[in-house]
Amino acid sequence: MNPENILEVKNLKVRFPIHGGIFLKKVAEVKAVDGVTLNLTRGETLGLVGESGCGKSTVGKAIINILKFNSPDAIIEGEVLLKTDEGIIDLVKLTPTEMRKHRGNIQMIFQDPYSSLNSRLSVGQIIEEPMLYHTSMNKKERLEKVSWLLEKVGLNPDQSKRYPHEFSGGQRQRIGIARALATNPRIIIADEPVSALDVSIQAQVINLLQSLQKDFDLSLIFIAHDLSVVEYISSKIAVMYLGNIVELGRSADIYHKPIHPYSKALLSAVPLPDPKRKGKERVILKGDVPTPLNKPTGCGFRTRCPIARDECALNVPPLELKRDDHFAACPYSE
Amino acid sequence: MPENKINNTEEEKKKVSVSIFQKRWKKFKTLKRGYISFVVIVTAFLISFILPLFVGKSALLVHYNGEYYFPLFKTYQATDLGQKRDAYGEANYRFLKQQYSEEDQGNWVLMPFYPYGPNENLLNELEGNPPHPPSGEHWAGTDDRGRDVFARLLYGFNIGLSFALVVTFFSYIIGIAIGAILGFYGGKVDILGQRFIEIWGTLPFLYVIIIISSIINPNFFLLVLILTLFNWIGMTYYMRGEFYREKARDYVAAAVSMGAKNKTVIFKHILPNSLTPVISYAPFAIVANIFSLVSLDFLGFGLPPPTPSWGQLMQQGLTNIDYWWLILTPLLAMFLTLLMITFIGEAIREAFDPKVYSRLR
Repeated sequence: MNPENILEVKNLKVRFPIHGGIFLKKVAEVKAVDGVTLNLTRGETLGLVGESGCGKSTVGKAIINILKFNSPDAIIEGEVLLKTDEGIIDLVKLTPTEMRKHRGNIQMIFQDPYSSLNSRLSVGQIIEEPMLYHTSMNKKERLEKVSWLLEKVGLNPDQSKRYPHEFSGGQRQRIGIARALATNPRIIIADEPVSALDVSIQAQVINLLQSLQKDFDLSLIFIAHDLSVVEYISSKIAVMYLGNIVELGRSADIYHKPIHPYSKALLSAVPLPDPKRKGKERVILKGDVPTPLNKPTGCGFRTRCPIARDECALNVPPLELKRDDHFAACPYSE
Repeated sequence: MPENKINNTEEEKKKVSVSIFQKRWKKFKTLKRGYISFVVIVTAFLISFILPLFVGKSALLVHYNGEYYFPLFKTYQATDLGQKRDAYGEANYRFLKQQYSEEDQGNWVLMPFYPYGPNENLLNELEGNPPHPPSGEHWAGTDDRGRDVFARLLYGFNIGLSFALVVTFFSYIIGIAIGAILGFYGGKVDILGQRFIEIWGTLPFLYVIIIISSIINPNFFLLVLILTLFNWIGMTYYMRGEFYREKARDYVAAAVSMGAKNKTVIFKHILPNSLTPVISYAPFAIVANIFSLVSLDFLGFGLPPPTPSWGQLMQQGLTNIDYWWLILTPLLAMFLTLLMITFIGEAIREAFDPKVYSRLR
């Protein structure tokens, strides 16, 4: 493991078998994630973008190892190496009981602030909960930390007795962030943390995440489909298509000089507040995203690619270094 | 981040925070007929546990030859207290009261407000043949064995409602636990469990009761046990569905990713969020269980005689169809009780409905 990295994901594959017939035989398989490799260094923000259903949330859930809770049949392969105080741990191989001990190091912020908070518990109880599992603080220390965290995320500490339904969406997301911070994690996976919020609130929450990242020395994996949000917060971006990473590089490089034909099409779809650029450079792809039940052979993007050749059907193109720190999974594009 | 701070006005600070349960309780209180029924039933049920203070054959206090006696706690023989009329067996305090006032020797008896017990045969005090029609002494007349119907109705209320509550409680515990296991663990556990429940559910309840009653004389606890064994099934379907749904919600994933154990996830997170069907279904289950006991008593497979029971009174009403009070009074008592509990259920359902506007007010 590279000493700079705090998290390495190596060739992660997630498959969901589909059972059918009277005897529930396995009839098909959804390849939700099909060989993802990622590195995360200390204090950096990695943006994970792609359209709906490309597997970006599944990557996040596979990293924090909660996929099996709701889909016990899921088949997870590859390695998720996490650097902890006790050395390097492969999270994929841990049993649920072993995993529980390490959960304090890696936390998640959820997409929907309306369903990610238990409406029966008060805000104080919600933020306190992770401390019960990962620290030996007494009641008074926990309450102090709850107040401190609430202040950190821009809420009033007096509000800890309130219940989630008394807060707005943006405030609830701040509560979710405070909960994720309660165990002093090294890594936070933010699974579309702002896509359920109003645009004005999105900016506040993103600014909050950025300032907290500095204060807490956090590494962030920021999953989103909103490219402008991702560009603003991320230092590195990985573009995903149909379970694969097709392009990986520094945020500015990917945003201004994309290499992979999919990234080009994706970025050209970002609306720009510039009337002169209207109608220019818009790449429109033909067809729809193929179903992950039945992926095309070779490159997953070849069915819609404007520069596809016959050879694309043969092998899955690996991520190759194209420019300085800029990788793309297409041998024919520059 | 000063610009991020949420401004707390004074007004905001004064607002009292309420949990969802408190909110629902507030709404329940605004639904008048449900709330009034709730208060009436709960009060009546609590009072029915101290019913001997108001309705009963034992005196509350006896003053005899300078000493005080408490017949509620100890049984006295007729001779202990100097009873003259029919002076054998247990003392009859109504006779004593009459006798003491005639003798005028400073002895006295304090009787309950309605001085007749539920299992007491009044043939030697009343003229004519039972059943006696309602009168100022016996508000609902007597049954075919000369027992006071009004007292039997009141004691029957306590037994019927206690029975229904106990059965509902135990069948809910079993139903919630099994439904939760099926919904939480899913997969093979769920498939096998569901098949077992389907098989168990096809057992004919009435035949089992008849067979058991013909072998042993059923008592309160045996009947609770049998009814519980057949009643838990309904709740499992609701709980299983709730657990399946809630398990997939983000707050459960959040709890797991925080490091909560399955036990914590089930009891702290999913269960409190799955109780809506339990609470809104409970009054109707209680109604159904009161009805079950009445039916069993009516058929003669219920609580052993001479337990005061509404079903047994109705059975008498059927055999003595000319005596209207034997039919009308237990039916009226049952009608009112079941109606009020149904009102409670209706109001609870309405209070748990997230819609703001209500049809009931």
